[in-house]
Amino acid sequence: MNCLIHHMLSTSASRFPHKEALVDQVDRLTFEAAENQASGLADGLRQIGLQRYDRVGIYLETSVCQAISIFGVSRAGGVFVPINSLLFPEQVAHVARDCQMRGLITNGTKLETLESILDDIPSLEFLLITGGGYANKVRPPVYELSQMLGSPIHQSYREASIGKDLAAILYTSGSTGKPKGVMLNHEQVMAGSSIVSDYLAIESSDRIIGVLPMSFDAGMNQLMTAIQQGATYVPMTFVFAREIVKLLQREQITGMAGVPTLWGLMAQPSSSLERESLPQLRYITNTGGRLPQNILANLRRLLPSTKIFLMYGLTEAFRSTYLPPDELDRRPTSMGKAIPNTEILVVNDNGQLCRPGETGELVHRGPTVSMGYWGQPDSTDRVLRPNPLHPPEMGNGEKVCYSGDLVKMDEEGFLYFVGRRDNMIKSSGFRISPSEIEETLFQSGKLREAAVIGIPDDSMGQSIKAFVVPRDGESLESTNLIAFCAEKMPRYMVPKTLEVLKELPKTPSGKIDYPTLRRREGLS
Amino acid sequence: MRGKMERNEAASKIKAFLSSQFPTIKNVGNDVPLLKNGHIDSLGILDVVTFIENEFGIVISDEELLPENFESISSLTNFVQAKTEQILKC
Repeated sequence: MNCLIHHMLSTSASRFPHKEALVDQVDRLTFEAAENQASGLADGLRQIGLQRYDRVGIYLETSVCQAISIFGVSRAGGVFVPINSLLFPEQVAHVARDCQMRGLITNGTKLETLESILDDIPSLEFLLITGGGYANKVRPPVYELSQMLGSPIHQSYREASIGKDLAAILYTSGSTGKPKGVMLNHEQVMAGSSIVSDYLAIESSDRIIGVLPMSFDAGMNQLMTAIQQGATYVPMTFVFAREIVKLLQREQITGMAGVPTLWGLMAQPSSSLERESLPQLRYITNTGGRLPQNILANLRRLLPSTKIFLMYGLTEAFRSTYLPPDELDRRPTSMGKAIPNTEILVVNDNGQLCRPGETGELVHRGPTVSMGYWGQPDSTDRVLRPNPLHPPEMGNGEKVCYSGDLVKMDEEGFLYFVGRRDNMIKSSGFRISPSEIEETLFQSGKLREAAVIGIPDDSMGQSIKAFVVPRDGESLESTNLIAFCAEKMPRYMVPKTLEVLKELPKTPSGKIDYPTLRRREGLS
Repeated sequence: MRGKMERNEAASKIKAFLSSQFPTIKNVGNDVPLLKNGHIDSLGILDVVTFIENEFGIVISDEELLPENFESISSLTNFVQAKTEQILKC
């Protein structure tokens, strides 16, 4: 019985031992080889002292090695924590400290950039690097990943984990503070892959390209669905969209997931999608934000035989809705309806169901509702609450996920996105906390006040605008302040524009009045 | 001689732009990989393309949007130089 994530790999390895499982520019692994590598890694991890429930960070580009690391950590009884490869050392340190990371898997180049922060992560006891080329001069011992993969020992090991055990922590931002770790257990991750495989009809003949980061639930879901169904997963990193188009063709890819910004790049002439025909590309999906109508129309024209699935999900509940492709003509602006075995409620402020057309908060119930935020019980209780429709006799038996997204539902159950309940910004598929950017702006030491909002943007979804008030006597160059941010944060978090004000608008209670700032920009 | 001067000038303009936009590039050498090492991502590259076109008065065609042209400060400089020479010949 498959009750743990790595069981899916073992099962596929016995069903399709010689079929390609994981393919990138460096490796082409069959299911059997992938299974051997993952078990070798698990043996190695246990030998160097990894205990059940230990958190292991995986700070690598989307790659075969990253996928093997995930299954290896799972098999060793650990919890994998994918870290977006775009993050800067400071943000990596936050993740590592927050989840008290015991081990970190990365490469030599990235490890070099992390040297300055390793001492700030007291829990870190070992480093595993891929590709070699790193002299062991840092504090925790450094091991070579390839040596562990090479010779599986297959020590007898009694597996103690069950499906309810924590499998992964995905770090994501909210409207305030630093990123929080969403906890997913094995059951939740596997329910996500079963559900998505069902409505995308993923089979062992599929070849799925992976361009989304593994720290993003949709990115991880692609790997899991592929392995579960015995399909081939082809991870890649890219700079130009045409590199993706080339790979789609070369590897005869049948399925691809993307975010609006990526589809914007793919729909541009420079991607060469216009000149290539991709009859084997069975489906594409969009998630991480609303796909602008012009891009959607372009994709439909460029990929006439490809089914387009618009999806919506939030990490706290993994995956929530999808729009069946045959509904695209009728409701191209809809975010779809609940995924299988899931119910989406639209709830008003009194905890009652909204009528069709009435705006309320999207509430998700189903098997993919996460376990909440690591180390943050109060935030967890705000997002995961008892089902508001259950009779009181049922107590807190079921937790549902309050998304913070305001939506409307039509008569037939299709949902339409209205806006966010809080100030959270979504840009190029990333969730961004305004307060985290404000905090960085304050670190410049030049500001008395700072407020950050999202401005609608065709290619990014939202772009980031900062309003700042200099401290008395400080002269401010907005370009310098933006450059300061760019040294501290990944590019997607850096404000695009910055306006210097004498004073920020305040509410009667003295807090920054964000709605007034939004109105200033002509937004509601 | 003149060609060499222009090359240095182009290289320093490119370097100045990149280090202002991508602070992790500040201290990197001319041959350090910018894309493979993650200094520039897929959105950042669009800004680089816009800068090159405006600064050097050239138009980069779709076929030229290749990693090899953008891989390092040196390869960007070579690319810009080849493009500007094309214009002068026309």
